[in-house]
Amino acid sequence: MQVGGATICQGDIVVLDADGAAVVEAPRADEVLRAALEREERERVKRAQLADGALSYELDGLRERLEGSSGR
Amino acid sequence: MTSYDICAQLARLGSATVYEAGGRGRYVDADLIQVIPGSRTAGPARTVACGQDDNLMAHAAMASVVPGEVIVLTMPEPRAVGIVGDLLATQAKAQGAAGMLIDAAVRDLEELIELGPLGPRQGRHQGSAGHDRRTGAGRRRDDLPG
Repeated sequence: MQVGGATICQGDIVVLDADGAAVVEAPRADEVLRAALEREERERVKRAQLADGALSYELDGLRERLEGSSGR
Repeated sequence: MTSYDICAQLARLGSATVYEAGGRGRYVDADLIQVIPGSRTAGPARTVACGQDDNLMAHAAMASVVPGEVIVLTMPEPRAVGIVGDLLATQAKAQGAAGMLIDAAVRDLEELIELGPLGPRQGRHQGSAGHDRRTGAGRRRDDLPG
């Protein structure tokens, strides 16, 4: 069936919280969980850096993208 | 890791992180209301398509839902006809449903909140609550509370 443009089949994993509803195709549950745990770890590290004053503008290479590799 | 553990982890990580980690595949793009503030859950979908203005299939779903499942209810057109209220939610909770995602109107919101999060009673699941979708005079609930 379709809910809000998302296909949901019997047995797909539905994740519900304050943000909304995500759907994981049943055969991908392991793979998506692994990727989500890796993402969580990366965000944990980054969060600590940001709390110490680092900027995502620098960490993610966004300054270079916006201002050019010369930085000028 | 059991499927139960996988769902518990996915619920903890949350819908946004799971969506991103999954390659931004499927996210419900609807105006949902979370019925129980702070609730979160995840589970295999038990999909139920109701007829227009008819919640017969919602009743039938309560007889077949397996503990830990998320009941996904839809109705063809959003109308101000409460497809789920406190009596169905009470059954969902008693049968161990992990949550409900309702793309239709719901009723008895205060009673639903009082009933609290759904969730398998025997599990460590955080349980869930509901999301609703407001459509005109009705509410479409995406994820029901207890």
